[in-house]
Amino acid sequence: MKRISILLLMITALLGCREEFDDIGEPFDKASGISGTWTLSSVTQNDEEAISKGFPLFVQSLDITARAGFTDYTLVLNQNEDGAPTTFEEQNTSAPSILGMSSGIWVLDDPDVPERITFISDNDEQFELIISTYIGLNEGQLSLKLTRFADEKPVVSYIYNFEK
Amino acid sequence: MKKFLILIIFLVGSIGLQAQNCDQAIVTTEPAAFTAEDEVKLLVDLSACTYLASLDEVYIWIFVPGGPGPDAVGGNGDFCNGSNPELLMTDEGDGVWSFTFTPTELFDATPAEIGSQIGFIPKEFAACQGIGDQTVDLFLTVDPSEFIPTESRTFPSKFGQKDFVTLYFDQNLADNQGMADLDEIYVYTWANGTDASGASIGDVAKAEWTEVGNTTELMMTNEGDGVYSLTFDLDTFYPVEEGTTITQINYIYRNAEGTVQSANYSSQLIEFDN
Repeated sequence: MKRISILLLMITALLGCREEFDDIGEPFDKASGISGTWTLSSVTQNDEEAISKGFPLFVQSLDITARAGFTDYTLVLNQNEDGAPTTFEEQNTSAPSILGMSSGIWVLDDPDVPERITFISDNDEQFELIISTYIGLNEGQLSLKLTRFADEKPVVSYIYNFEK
Repeated sequence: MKKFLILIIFLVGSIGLQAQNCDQAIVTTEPAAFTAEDEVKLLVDLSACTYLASLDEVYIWIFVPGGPGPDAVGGNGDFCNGSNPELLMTDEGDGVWSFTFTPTELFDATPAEIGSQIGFIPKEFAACQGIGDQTVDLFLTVDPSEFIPTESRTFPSKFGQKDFVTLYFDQNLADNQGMADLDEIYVYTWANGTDASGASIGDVAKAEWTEVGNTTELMMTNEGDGVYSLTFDLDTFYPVEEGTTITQINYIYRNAEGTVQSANYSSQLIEFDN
């Protein structure tokens, strides 16, 4: 009986072993990951008040990619040899402008854990987008968010999804 | 004849008393827009109401038109003989008086019972003297707490100068049978605002009424199930000069020929410019 118990214990211990994870590798350089040539894949407009009130989904969000003509939009974010942001270029032959400026420089609020990208035109005009999520960034997906406020309350927001 | 004279004297007297009710009050709220479930601070500038501005105490008489009164504090009291002391307004200085409340709590009612309007009258503790001791009936607009489908709506419900706007027309809710039967729907729309110098731009139409049917940008998209939509970039849609600030858009749904149109025209204020 004692031997059977020991055997069962060994079998249980063996079954309980998990495969080792693969090496997760070097930490992902987010600033460098944000650089590149990004093609706009979709634009979602959100009614922030409708969301906060729990209104039906069809009055909360709307995919305006085709409706608003965002079918031909590319954002080029250049970097230097160290992977730091340098210049940007908005290529939108027929699509509306997102940034309101065609070129300039771009900067991150924090190179290690960036939350905001500020675009600065040659005329020193500034435009800011929030990085919605890091999920998908190392797989060539970038999600940026613009929120408009009234009386300090969010009213309308846009989610711009890009692919590398 | 004597009765007739008495009636005339009574009517003139009534009109005279009515005329004493101050109609110069300026009303604002914080926040500017609120639902029945939000706490709101009501501010009333009574500095142009001579008698009320001279008082040390001002009370609010508050009600839902056709609905409940302030049941949570025991009602309004007696208009002529004495208000409920719980409804004493706060002196903010410079003739401005405030009252802070949450509609659902004050009226002990649901958002549906409160509806879209709250009425109120700033007044002296015991009014009815006909000496300007109360204002005329004043009203606040209450934003809906729940989505109410309507014939016409915009997405988003509020928007600014630089937003994309989508107009929706739902034939299932059309007030006009002619509109419910159309296979193609167009929009006649115009904007109001101010130019770079601050002067009014008047009514600037995207296309004149007679040209709407020839303007493809004004033809709505059939989304199915009787719902039609039109999306545009507010910043570039209307033919206004650079530097113009659009403060309001207006629109009428119609057929290409202009022989059938929606029963009502819709209009929406542009609430922010960032």
